[in-house]
Amino acid sequence: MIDDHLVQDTFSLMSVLTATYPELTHKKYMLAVNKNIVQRNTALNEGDTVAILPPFSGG
Amino acid sequence: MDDINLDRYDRQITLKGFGVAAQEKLRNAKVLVVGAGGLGCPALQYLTAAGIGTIGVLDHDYVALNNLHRQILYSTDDVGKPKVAVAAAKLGRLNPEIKIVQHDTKLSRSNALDIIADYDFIVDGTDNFESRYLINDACLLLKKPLVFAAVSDYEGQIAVFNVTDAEGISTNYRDLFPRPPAAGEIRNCEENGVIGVLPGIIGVMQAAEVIKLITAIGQPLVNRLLNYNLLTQQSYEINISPGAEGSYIKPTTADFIKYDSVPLKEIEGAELRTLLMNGDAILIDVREYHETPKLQGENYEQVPMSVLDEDILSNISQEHLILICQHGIRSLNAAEYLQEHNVGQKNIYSLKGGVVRWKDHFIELSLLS
Repeated sequence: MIDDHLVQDTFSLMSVLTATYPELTHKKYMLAVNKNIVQRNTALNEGDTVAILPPFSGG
Repeated sequence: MDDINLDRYDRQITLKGFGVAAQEKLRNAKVLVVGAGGLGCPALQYLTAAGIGTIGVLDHDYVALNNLHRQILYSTDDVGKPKVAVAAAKLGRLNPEIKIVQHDTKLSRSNALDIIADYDFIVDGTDNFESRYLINDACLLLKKPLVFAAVSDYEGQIAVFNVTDAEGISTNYRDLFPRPPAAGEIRNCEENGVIGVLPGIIGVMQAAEVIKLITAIGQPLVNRLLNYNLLTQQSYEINISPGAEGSYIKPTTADFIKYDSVPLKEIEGAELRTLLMNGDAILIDVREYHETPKLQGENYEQVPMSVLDEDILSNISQEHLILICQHGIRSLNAAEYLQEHNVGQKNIYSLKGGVVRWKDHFIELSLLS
Protein backbone atom coordinates (compact mmCIF):
# COMPACT_ATOMS: atom_id res chain seq x y z
CA MET A 1 0.00 0.00 0.00
CA ILE A 2 1.26 3.45 -0.82
CA ASP A 3 0.74 6.19 1.74
CA ASP A 4 -0.90 8.96 -0.25
CA HIS A 5 0.26 11.65 2.18
CA LEU A 6 3.78 11.03 0.90
CA VAL A 7 2.75 11.28 -2.72
CA GLN A 8 2.07 14.86 -3.68
CA ASP A 9 3.81 14.87 -7.03
CA THR A 10 5.35 12.46 -9.54
CA PHE A 11 8.86 12.77 -8.07
CA SER A 12 7.66 11.70 -4.64
CA LEU A 13 5.58 8.94 -6.24
CA MET A 14 8.70 7.62 -7.94
CA SER A 15 10.64 7.63 -4.65
CA VAL A 16 7.82 5.76 -2.93
CA LEU A 17 7.59 3.28 -5.82
CA THR A 18 11.34 2.71 -5.74
CA ALA A 19 11.31 2.22 -1.97
CA THR A 20 8.39 -0.23 -2.26
CA TYR A 21 9.72 -2.05 -5.34
CA PRO A 22 13.54 -1.77 -5.25
CA GLU A 23 13.85 -3.59 -8.60
CA LEU A 24 12.42 -0.45 -10.24
CA THR A 25 15.54 1.54 -9.30
CA HIS A 26 17.47 0.66 -12.43
CA LYS A 27 14.52 0.19 -14.76
CA LYS A 28 13.51 2.77 -17.31
CA TYR A 29 9.84 3.59 -17.40
CA MET A 30 7.67 6.57 -18.07
CA LEU A 31 4.78 7.94 -16.11
CA ALA A 32 1.60 9.39 -17.49
CA VAL A 33 -0.84 11.37 -15.39
CA ASN A 34 -4.39 11.40 -16.70
CA LYS A 35 -3.11 10.08 -20.04
CA ASN A 36 -0.52 12.80 -20.48
CA ILE A 37 3.14 11.88 -20.44
CA VAL A 38 5.08 13.39 -17.54
CA GLN A 39 8.09 15.39 -18.73
CA ARG A 40 8.76 17.26 -15.49
CA ASN A 41 7.67 16.94 -11.87
CA THR A 42 3.89 17.07 -11.89
CA ALA A 43 1.56 17.65 -8.96
CA LEU A 44 -0.83 14.79 -8.17
CA ASN A 45 -4.39 15.37 -7.04
CA GLU A 46 -7.12 13.17 -5.58
CA GLY A 47 -8.57 10.95 -8.31
CA ASP A 48 -5.69 11.29 -10.79
CA THR A 49 -4.85 8.20 -12.83
CA VAL A 50 -1.15 7.40 -13.12
CA ALA A 51 0.09 4.91 -15.72
CA ILE A 52 3.55 3.35 -15.63
CA LEU A 53 4.86 2.22 -19.00
CA PRO A 54 8.13 0.45 -19.77
CA PRO A 55 9.78 0.59 -23.19
CA PHE A 56 9.09 -2.44 -25.41
CA SER A 57 11.60 -3.77 -27.90
CA GLY A 58 9.97 -6.88 -29.36
CA GLY A 59 8.92 -7.21 -32.97
CA MET B 1 2.98 6.16 -65.25
CA ASP B 2 0.47 3.34 -65.75
CA ASP B 3 -3.18 3.89 -64.97
CA ILE B 4 -4.37 2.56 -61.65
CA ASN B 5 -5.92 -0.89 -61.88
CA LEU B 6 -9.46 0.03 -60.84
CA ASP B 7 -10.49 -3.57 -60.48
CA ARG B 8 -7.67 -4.58 -58.09
CA TYR B 9 -8.41 -1.71 -55.72
CA ASP B 10 -12.17 -1.58 -56.35
CA ARG B 11 -13.24 -2.27 -52.76
CA GLN B 12 -11.16 0.53 -51.26
CA ILE B 13 -11.73 3.00 -54.11
CA THR B 14 -15.48 2.51 -53.58
CA LEU B 15 -15.06 3.41 -49.92
CA LYS B 16 -16.59 6.74 -48.94
CA GLY B 17 -13.84 9.28 -48.30
CA PHE B 18 -11.23 7.27 -50.23
CA GLY B 19 -11.71 7.07 -53.98
CA VAL B 20 -9.25 7.18 -56.90
CA ALA B 21 -7.55 10.28 -55.47
CA ALA B 22 -6.49 8.37 -52.34
CA GLN B 23 -5.44 5.39 -54.42
CA GLU B 24 -3.19 7.67 -56.49
CA LYS B 25 -1.57 8.97 -53.31
CA LEU B 26 -0.81 5.38 -52.30
CA ARG B 27 0.66 4.67 -55.73
CA ASN B 28 2.94 7.72 -55.50
CA ALA B 29 4.18 6.90 -52.00
CA LYS B 30 7.47 5.25 -51.05
CA VAL B 31 7.43 3.29 -47.80
CA LEU B 32 10.36 1.55 -46.11
CA VAL B 33 9.65 -1.32 -43.73
CA VAL B 34 12.65 -1.99 -41.50
CA GLY B 35 12.57 -5.56 -40.21
CA ALA B 36 10.63 -8.25 -42.08
CA GLY B 37 9.65 -10.12 -38.92
CA GLY B 38 6.60 -10.35 -36.67
CA LEU B 39 5.57 -6.73 -37.20
CA GLY B 40 7.11 -6.16 -40.62
CA CYS B 41 5.52 -9.13 -42.40
CA PRO B 42 1.86 -8.23 -41.79
CA ALA B 43 2.63 -4.55 -42.43
CA LEU B 44 4.31 -5.48 -45.72
CA GLN B 45 1.48 -7.74 -46.83
CA TYR B 46 -1.22 -5.13 -46.31
CA LEU B 47 0.85 -2.25 -47.70
CA THR B 48 1.59 -4.31 -50.81
CA ALA B 49 -2.03 -5.31 -51.22
CA ALA B 50 -3.17 -1.70 -50.72
CA GLY B 51 -1.08 -0.57 -53.69
CA ILE B 52 1.75 1.50 -52.15
CA GLY B 53 3.78 2.36 -55.27
CA THR B 54 7.25 1.62 -53.88
CA ILE B 55 7.95 -0.57 -50.87
CA GLY B 56 11.43 -1.09 -49.45
CA VAL B 57 12.05 -4.25 -47.41
CA LEU B 58 15.06 -4.16 -45.11
CA ASP B 59 16.35 -7.14 -43.15
CA HIS B 60 19.57 -9.15 -42.97
CA ASP B 61 18.19 -12.29 -41.39
CA TYR B 62 17.19 -15.73 -42.66
CA VAL B 63 13.82 -17.42 -42.22
CA ALA B 64 13.84 -19.73 -39.19
CA LEU B 65 11.29 -22.40 -38.31
CA ASN B 66 10.40 -20.63 -35.05
CA ASN B 67 9.54 -17.46 -37.03
CA LEU B 68 6.62 -19.12 -38.82
CA HIS B 69 4.04 -19.00 -36.04
CA ARG B 70 3.92 -15.22 -36.41
CA GLN B 71 5.67 -14.31 -39.68
CA ILE B 72 3.03 -15.83 -41.92
CA LEU B 73 4.43 -14.29 -45.08
CA TYR B 74 6.93 -17.17 -45.04
CA SER B 75 6.34 -20.90 -45.58
CA THR B 76 8.03 -23.96 -44.15
CA ASP B 77 10.07 -24.51 -47.30
CA ASP B 78 11.49 -20.96 -46.96
CA VAL B 79 13.39 -21.90 -43.80
CA GLY B 80 17.06 -21.02 -44.22
CA LYS B 81 16.47 -18.57 -47.08
CA PRO B 82 17.12 -14.81 -46.81
CA LYS B 83 14.00 -13.02 -45.60
CA VAL B 84 14.27 -10.08 -47.98
CA ALA B 85 14.45 -12.23 -51.13
CA VAL B 86 11.58 -14.48 -50.01
CA ALA B 87 9.46 -11.51 -48.93
CA ALA B 88 10.09 -9.66 -52.21
CA ALA B 89 9.16 -12.71 -54.28
CA LYS B 90 5.94 -13.36 -52.37
CA LEU B 91 4.90 -9.72 -52.22
CA GLY B 92 5.62 -9.43 -55.95
CA ARG B 93 3.17 -12.25 -56.62
CA LEU B 94 0.59 -10.65 -54.33
CA ASN B 95 0.83 -7.40 -56.27
CA PRO B 96 3.00 -7.26 -59.41
CA GLU B 97 1.85 -3.69 -60.09
CA ILE B 98 4.10 -2.12 -57.44
CA LYS B 99 7.87 -1.83 -57.04
CA ILE B 100 9.56 -3.82 -54.26
CA VAL B 101 13.08 -2.71 -53.34
CA GLN B 102 15.28 -5.23 -51.54
CA HIS B 103 17.69 -4.04 -48.84
CA ASP B 104 19.39 -7.24 -47.69
CA THR B 105 21.52 -5.46 -45.13
CA LYS B 106 21.75 -4.48 -41.49
CA LEU B 107 20.81 -0.88 -40.82
CA SER B 108 23.77 0.94 -39.28
CA ARG B 109 24.81 4.47 -38.43
CA SER B 110 26.81 4.57 -41.67
CA ASN B 111 24.04 3.47 -44.08
CA ALA B 112 20.82 4.55 -42.36
CA LEU B 113 20.65 8.11 -43.64
CA ASP B 114 21.29 7.11 -47.27
CA ILE B 115 18.69 4.34 -47.23
CA ILE B 116 15.98 6.24 -45.34
CA ALA B 117 16.40 9.42 -47.42
CA ASP B 118 14.87 7.62 -50.44
CA TYR B 119 11.53 7.00 -48.71
CA ASP B 120 8.54 9.12 -47.61
CA PHE B 121 7.35 6.98 -44.69
CA ILE B 122 9.24 4.58 -42.45
CA VAL B 123 7.82 1.60 -40.55
CA ASP B 124 9.85 0.33 -37.59
CA GLY B 125 9.31 -3.41 -37.32
CA THR B 126 12.62 -4.23 -35.66
CA ASP B 127 13.11 -6.24 -32.49
CA ASN B 128 15.88 -4.48 -30.56
CA PHE B 129 16.54 -1.11 -28.97
CA GLU B 130 19.73 -0.42 -30.90
CA SER B 131 17.84 -0.48 -34.21
CA ARG B 132 14.87 1.38 -32.81
CA TYR B 133 16.98 4.30 -31.58
CA LEU B 134 18.95 4.32 -34.82
CA ILE B 135 15.78 4.47 -36.94
CA ASN B 136 14.30 7.09 -34.64
CA ASP B 137 17.40 9.29 -34.82
CA ALA B 138 17.69 8.99 -38.61
CA CYS B 139 14.00 9.80 -39.10
CA LEU B 140 14.25 12.71 -36.66
CA LEU B 141 17.22 14.12 -38.55
CA LEU B 142 15.64 13.60 -41.99
CA LYS B 143 12.18 14.68 -40.76
CA LYS B 144 10.63 11.44 -42.02
CA PRO B 145 7.29 10.30 -40.61
CA LEU B 146 7.95 7.14 -38.59
CA VAL B 147 5.36 4.57 -37.62
CA PHE B 148 6.82 2.98 -34.51
CA ALA B 149 5.56 -0.21 -32.90
CA ALA B 150 6.86 -2.79 -30.46
CA VAL B 151 5.48 -5.72 -28.51
CA SER B 152 6.20 -7.33 -25.16
CA ASP B 153 4.42 -10.31 -23.63
CA TYR B 154 0.74 -9.75 -24.43
CA GLU B 155 0.95 -6.02 -25.10
CA GLY B 156 1.89 -3.75 -27.96
CA GLN B 157 2.81 -0.08 -28.35
CA ILE B 158 2.30 1.97 -31.48
CA ALA B 159 2.82 5.67 -32.27
CA VAL B 160 3.53 8.03 -35.16
CA PHE B 161 6.63 10.21 -34.84
CA ASN B 162 7.95 13.28 -36.67
CA VAL B 163 4.54 14.39 -37.91
CA THR B 164 3.36 17.80 -36.73
CA ASP B 165 -0.07 18.11 -35.15
CA ALA B 166 -2.49 21.04 -35.53
CA GLU B 167 -0.42 23.03 -33.00
CA GLY B 168 2.75 22.46 -34.98
CA ILE B 169 4.20 20.04 -32.42
CA SER B 170 5.97 16.82 -33.34
CA THR B 171 7.59 14.23 -31.09
CA ASN B 172 9.85 11.22 -31.39
CA TYR B 173 10.78 8.12 -29.39
CA ARG B 174 13.38 10.03 -27.36
CA ASP B 175 10.57 12.22 -26.00
CA LEU B 176 9.25 9.04 -24.38
CA PHE B 177 12.55 7.39 -23.51
CA PRO B 178 15.53 9.74 -23.97
CA ARG B 179 18.07 6.95 -23.55
CA PRO B 180 18.00 3.26 -24.45
CA PRO B 181 17.66 0.82 -21.56
CA ALA B 182 20.83 -0.95 -20.46
CA ALA B 183 21.55 -4.30 -22.10
CA GLY B 184 19.46 -6.99 -20.45
CA GLU B 185 17.20 -4.52 -18.64
CA ILE B 186 14.19 -5.26 -20.86
CA ARG B 187 13.53 -8.78 -22.05
CA ASN B 188 12.83 -9.40 -25.75
CA CYS B 189 10.52 -11.83 -27.59
CA GLU B 190 13.28 -14.38 -27.90
CA GLU B 191 13.61 -14.58 -24.12
CA ASN B 192 10.00 -13.87 -23.25
CA GLY B 193 7.98 -15.49 -26.00
CA VAL B 194 5.10 -13.97 -27.95
CA ILE B 195 1.76 -15.12 -29.31
CA GLY B 196 1.78 -14.93 -33.10
CA VAL B 197 -1.36 -12.85 -33.45
CA LEU B 198 -0.03 -9.98 -31.28
CA PRO B 199 2.62 -8.67 -33.72
CA GLY B 200 0.09 -9.56 -36.44
CA ILE B 201 -2.45 -7.13 -34.96
CA ILE B 202 0.08 -4.41 -34.22
CA GLY B 203 1.83 -4.78 -37.61
CA VAL B 204 -1.50 -4.41 -39.40
CA MET B 205 -2.18 -1.33 -37.25
CA GLN B 206 1.14 0.07 -38.49
CA ALA B 207 0.03 -0.48 -42.10
CA ALA B 208 -3.25 1.27 -41.27
CA GLU B 209 -1.39 4.28 -39.86
CA VAL B 210 0.79 4.48 -42.99
CA ILE B 211 -2.28 4.40 -45.23
CA LYS B 212 -3.98 7.08 -43.10
CA LEU B 213 -0.89 9.30 -43.22
CA ILE B 214 -0.50 8.98 -46.99
CA THR B 215 -4.14 9.53 -47.83
CA ALA B 216 -4.77 12.08 -45.05
CA ILE B 217 -7.81 10.27 -43.66
CA GLY B 218 -8.80 9.97 -40.01
CA GLN B 219 -6.60 10.76 -37.04
CA PRO B 220 -3.26 8.96 -37.16
CA LEU B 221 -1.54 8.38 -33.79
CA VAL B 222 0.38 11.66 -34.02
CA ASN B 223 1.83 12.53 -30.59
CA ARG B 224 -0.15 9.67 -29.10
CA LEU B 225 1.11 6.30 -27.89
CA LEU B 226 -1.44 3.51 -28.09
CA ASN B 227 -0.86 0.69 -25.65
CA TYR B 228 -2.81 -2.42 -26.71
CA ASN B 229 -3.50 -5.38 -24.42
CA LEU B 230 -4.32 -8.61 -26.22
CA LEU B 231 -5.64 -10.39 -23.13
CA THR B 232 -8.29 -7.79 -22.38
CA GLN B 233 -8.72 -6.30 -25.87
CA GLN B 234 -8.34 -2.95 -24.20
CA SER B 235 -6.19 -0.09 -25.31
CA TYR B 236 -4.81 2.82 -23.33
CA GLU B 237 -3.66 5.99 -25.03
CA ILE B 238 -1.08 8.45 -23.79
CA ASN B 239 -0.50 11.93 -25.15
CA ILE B 240 3.16 12.50 -25.91
CA SER B 241 4.70 15.93 -25.47
CA PRO B 242 8.25 17.04 -26.28
CA GLY B 243 10.84 16.10 -23.65
CA ALA B 244 12.13 18.68 -21.19
CA GLU B 245 14.89 20.95 -22.48
CA GLY B 246 18.21 19.14 -22.41
CA SER B 247 16.78 15.64 -21.91
CA TYR B 248 18.57 14.65 -25.12
CA ILE B 249 20.45 16.39 -27.90
CA LYS B 250 19.28 16.11 -31.49
CA PRO B 251 21.48 14.33 -34.03
CA THR B 252 23.14 16.20 -36.88
CA THR B 253 24.37 14.85 -40.21
CA ALA B 254 27.96 15.57 -39.21
CA ASP B 255 27.85 13.65 -35.94
CA PHE B 256 25.38 10.96 -36.92
CA ILE B 257 27.86 8.09 -37.06
CA LYS B 258 29.20 8.90 -33.60
CA TYR B 259 25.99 10.50 -32.36
CA ASP B 260 25.38 10.26 -28.68
CA SER B 261 22.14 11.61 -27.33
CA VAL B 262 23.45 12.22 -23.87
CA PRO B 263 25.44 15.41 -23.57
CA LEU B 264 28.50 15.47 -21.38
CA LYS B 265 27.91 18.07 -18.74
CA GLU B 266 30.23 20.19 -16.72
CA ILE B 267 28.39 20.99 -13.54
CA GLU B 268 28.81 23.35 -10.64
CA GLY B 269 28.27 22.89 -6.92
CA ALA B 270 24.51 23.48 -6.90
CA GLU B 271 23.90 20.81 -9.53
CA LEU B 272 26.22 18.44 -7.73
CA ARG B 273 24.13 18.84 -4.62
CA THR B 274 20.84 18.26 -6.51
CA LEU B 275 22.15 15.15 -8.25
CA LEU B 276 23.40 13.59 -5.05
CA MET B 277 20.23 14.46 -3.13
CA ASN B 278 17.96 13.01 -5.83
CA GLY B 279 19.75 9.68 -5.59
CA ASP B 280 20.89 7.23 -8.28
CA ALA B 281 24.12 9.23 -8.55
CA ILE B 282 27.68 8.35 -7.60
CA LEU B 283 30.74 10.53 -7.16
CA ILE B 284 33.85 9.12 -8.84
CA ASP B 285 37.05 10.66 -7.57
CA VAL B 286 39.76 10.27 -10.23
CA ARG B 287 42.55 11.70 -8.05
CA GLU B 288 45.45 9.45 -7.08
CA TYR B 289 45.40 7.89 -3.61
CA HIS B 290 47.98 10.25 -2.10
CA GLU B 291 46.05 13.43 -2.90
CA THR B 292 44.24 15.39 -0.20
CA PRO B 293 41.76 16.36 1.13
CA LYS B 294 40.41 12.84 1.36
CA LEU B 295 36.72 12.35 0.78
CA GLN B 296 34.43 9.61 1.98
CA GLY B 297 30.76 8.73 1.93
CA GLU B 298 28.05 6.40 0.77
CA ASN B 299 27.87 7.33 -2.89
CA TYR B 300 31.55 7.99 -3.26
CA GLU B 301 34.26 5.90 -4.86
CA GLN B 302 37.87 6.62 -5.68
CA VAL B 303 39.05 5.36 -9.08
CA PRO B 304 42.35 7.09 -9.88
CA MET B 305 43.02 8.12 -13.49
CA SER B 306 45.91 5.63 -13.56
CA VAL B 307 43.48 2.69 -13.28
CA LEU B 308 40.30 4.16 -14.79
CA ASP B 309 38.86 2.32 -17.80
CA GLU B 310 35.48 1.98 -19.48
CA ASP B 311 34.55 -1.08 -17.39
CA ILE B 312 33.38 1.36 -14.76
CA LEU B 313 30.34 2.08 -16.95
CA SER B 314 29.08 -1.48 -16.62
CA ASN B 315 30.27 -1.99 -13.04
CA ILE B 316 28.42 0.94 -11.59
CA SER B 317 24.68 0.66 -11.20
CA GLN B 318 23.90 4.35 -10.74
CA GLU B 319 22.50 6.32 -13.68
CA HIS B 320 24.48 9.49 -12.93
CA LEU B 321 28.30 9.44 -12.74
CA ILE B 322 29.84 12.62 -11.41
CA LEU B 323 33.57 12.70 -11.99
CA ILE B 324 35.68 14.87 -9.73
CA CYS B 325 39.35 15.69 -9.25
CA GLN B 326 41.37 18.46 -7.64
CA HIS B 327 40.61 21.27 -10.14
CA GLY B 328 38.20 19.73 -12.66
CA ILE B 329 40.68 19.21 -15.51
CA ARG B 330 41.47 15.52 -15.14
CA SER B 331 37.83 14.77 -14.36
CA LEU B 332 36.81 16.48 -17.61
CA ASN B 333 39.29 14.34 -19.56
CA ALA B 334 38.04 11.25 -17.77
CA ALA B 335 34.42 12.22 -18.52
CA GLU B 336 35.22 12.71 -22.21
CA TYR B 337 36.96 9.34 -22.29
CA LEU B 338 34.03 7.56 -20.63
CA GLN B 339 31.55 9.38 -22.85
CA GLU B 340 33.25 7.89 -25.92
CA HIS B 341 32.59 4.44 -24.52
CA ASN B 342 29.16 5.30 -23.19
CA VAL B 343 26.53 3.60 -25.30
CA GLY B 344 23.88 6.04 -24.18
CA GLN B 345 23.18 4.37 -20.86
CA LYS B 346 24.61 6.79 -18.31
CA ASN B 347 24.69 10.47 -17.59
CA ILE B 348 28.29 11.55 -17.16
CA TYR B 349 29.26 14.80 -15.45
CA SER B 350 32.46 16.54 -14.55
CA LEU B 351 32.61 18.94 -11.62
CA LYS B 352 33.97 22.26 -12.84
CA GLY B 353 36.63 23.60 -10.49
CA GLY B 354 36.93 20.33 -8.62
CA VAL B 355 37.27 19.62 -4.92
CA VAL B 356 39.26 22.80 -4.33
CA ARG B 357 36.50 25.09 -5.58
CA TRP B 358 33.56 23.32 -3.95
CA LYS B 359 35.13 22.38 -0.61
CA ASP B 360 32.22 23.91 1.32
CA HIS B 361 29.73 21.79 -0.63
CA PHE B 362 31.65 18.63 0.16
CA ILE B 363 31.60 19.50 3.86
CA GLU B 364 27.89 20.25 3.69
CA LEU B 365 27.24 16.92 1.93
CA SER B 366 29.22 15.13 4.66
CA LEU B 367 31.75 13.89 2.14
CA LEU B 368 34.54 15.85 3.77
CA SER B 369 35.06 16.33 7.47
